[in-house]
Amino acid sequence: MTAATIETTGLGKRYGSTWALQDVTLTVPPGRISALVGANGAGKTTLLRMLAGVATPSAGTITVAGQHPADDVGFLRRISYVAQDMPLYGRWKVADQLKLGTELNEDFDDAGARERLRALSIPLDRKVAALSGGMRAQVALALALGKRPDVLLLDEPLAALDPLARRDFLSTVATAVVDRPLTVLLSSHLLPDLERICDHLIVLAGGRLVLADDIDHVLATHRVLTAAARDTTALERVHDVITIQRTPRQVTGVVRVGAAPLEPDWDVTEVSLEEIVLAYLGVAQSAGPPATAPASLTLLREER
Amino acid sequence: MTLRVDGRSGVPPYLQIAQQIRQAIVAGVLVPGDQLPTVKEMVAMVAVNPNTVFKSLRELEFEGLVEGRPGAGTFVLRRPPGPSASHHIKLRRSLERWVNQARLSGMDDRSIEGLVRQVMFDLDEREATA
Amino acid sequence: MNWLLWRQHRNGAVVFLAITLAFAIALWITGVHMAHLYDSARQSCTVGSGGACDRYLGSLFNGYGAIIDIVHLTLVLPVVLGAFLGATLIARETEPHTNVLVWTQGVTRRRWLLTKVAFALVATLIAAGLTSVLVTWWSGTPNSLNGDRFQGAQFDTQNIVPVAHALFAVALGIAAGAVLRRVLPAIATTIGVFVAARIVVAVYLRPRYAAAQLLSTPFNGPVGGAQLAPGSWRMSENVVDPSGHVVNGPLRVPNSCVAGSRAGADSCLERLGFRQVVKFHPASSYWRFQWTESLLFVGLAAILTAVAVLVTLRRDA
Repeated sequence: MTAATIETTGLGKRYGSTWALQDVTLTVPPGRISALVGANGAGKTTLLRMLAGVATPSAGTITVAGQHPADDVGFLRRISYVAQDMPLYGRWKVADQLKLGTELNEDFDDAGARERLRALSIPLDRKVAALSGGMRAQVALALALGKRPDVLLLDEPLAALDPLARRDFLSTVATAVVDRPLTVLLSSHLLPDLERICDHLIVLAGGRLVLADDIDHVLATHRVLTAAARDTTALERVHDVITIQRTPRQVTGVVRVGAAPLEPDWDVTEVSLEEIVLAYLGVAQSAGPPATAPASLTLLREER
Repeated sequence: MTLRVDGRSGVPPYLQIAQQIRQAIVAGVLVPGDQLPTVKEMVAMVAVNPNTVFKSLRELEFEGLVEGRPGAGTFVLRRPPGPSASHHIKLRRSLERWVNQARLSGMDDRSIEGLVRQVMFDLDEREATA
Repeated sequence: MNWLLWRQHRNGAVVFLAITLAFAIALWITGVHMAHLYDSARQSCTVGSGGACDRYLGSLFNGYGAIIDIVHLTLVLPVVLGAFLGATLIARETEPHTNVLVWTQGVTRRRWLLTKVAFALVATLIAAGLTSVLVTWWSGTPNSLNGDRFQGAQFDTQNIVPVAHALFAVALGIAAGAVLRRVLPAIATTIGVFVAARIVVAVYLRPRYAAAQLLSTPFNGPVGGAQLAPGSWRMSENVVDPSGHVVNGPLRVPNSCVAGSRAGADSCLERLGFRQVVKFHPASSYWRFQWTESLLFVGLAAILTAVAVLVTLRRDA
């Protein structure tokens, strides 16, 4: 029972002649809570569905805990997948929903799931459709965690939840990771929420992988550089400039700073994770101090 | 005790948690020998990555304030130097009165913080030149 | 998996069992009565010995119209099973995406699918089989009285044909649900295709399961042609001209036969070689026809089931 590594090589998915996901090669180290971030249509759901074995890749390979996703019990036992609309049997009572877990899985942790729901005051004899969005999410999560997976895949679990429900949901996910070694991958638009709980970041744009790294490392290696208007070719040659903004008087850029030293006339400031992600997603940020009021990622344009 | 993390404050979450625990020890809410909440309890309270909590505990361990005992939990080791618990309470009370006054007279919180920093800076200057 | 099947189908099963129980009781009571009535009626008069007896027998079951209608109503059992058991089997999971939930537990998609399909087909076999046994037993008396078991609704609701129809309908429903993935379109498609298939088979194929036989009677004999043995399937009666062609439409009397009286004209046409011909399948062909139609529909059911399974296993959830 160890946390599992997720690895993909050249992964792609095509619908007709359109590639929804293309050439994605990444490794998620075990035990991480990873944020999967990107605009609508960037390929997040497509990626998660392939990792769960629910959709087949058009190209490339996937390994989850050393296994290729397949329709066999050995693989199914390692993963839990909560799809985007959190499908549950609405007309069933919560208790029946858990019974589904017991009946369809060997070694389902029924007592743990019930305890989790009891601690959240979720009534076991209420019909699932009659629960609030937050409670439904907790039921879906209890079912997923009761399976004792090594990998937990959550597709936009926070989307329909109010702030309090979001916090409770994330709290449940985080405490689950304390209990057992678990690799979590959750997709969302809401970066501030993800930032608290995640330690690894994967950014998709237009079906391609744009960034995949530990959050600490991302924050440590990216900076906002500001200077009076000037030529930036020297800078761009040596460092990885993500975006650059020019006004007649000033030049500002988000840069992944390499080993080489920076010219002294660059003013260097730390940058928030949100700004880094937005930079990678190609949204222009106005020059200024690092993010004070974080703009929500739901304001993102569709990736071209 | 309850922990809170303010995502917008600019202070990294692990430091916020460490600070709040340190404050609790200073204020006498936690005394040497008390067990801190478990990692799981703290994670549940604050909804942060468990590694963040581990980082806070390491920070406090490094400061010598707490000690982790394998299999048992984390325990308060000693109180950081500073005013006694009762003195701390007095100081806190007079600060509450002052902040209240400042707010009633129309100062916003940013100005209040700015004023406190200015006063600390000036006092340091005065001490340095004294 | 067994618990899941029960939990998902228990309501339908309970309703069906309740209805079947009521149906069985009604059939048993009326069936026994009708048999008694028929036996005592036959003892007191002989068929064909005069109009009065025939009329008496013809009106013997006048009070049983309701139960007769109900029995004929079992004609819809296949399409009902197809719509409510077959079409919903897969579509009720794919439409709200609970298939993703169910297929990522500890049971493989293959096992889930094969178990569900097997359950649906076995349940259909039992449901339609049970109904057919009841209806066939009850129909013993009306069959003897009317001699019409080889025709129409009787052929469709007795013995093995209704079971084959039901298996076809359910397999059709499962395939429709697998391909269309939404419940209402699947139900509509199942009903539409089932009805169309049944009509096509009944009108065009069934008459040709064996070569029809012809029985010729004199032109000036009783109108309507030969009397057939009970239990035959009378297909058509026609006038045939001397060269053997069927006369469609009004008969043009040749000038040589235009005479004063009808009887005279008839004898004249008879002498020329006009005949009445009845086309029919003899009663002895009944079981051959039952087996042929059943195998046809069961074969279609097998193909549709294979389609449903392949589509569901291959497609992304």
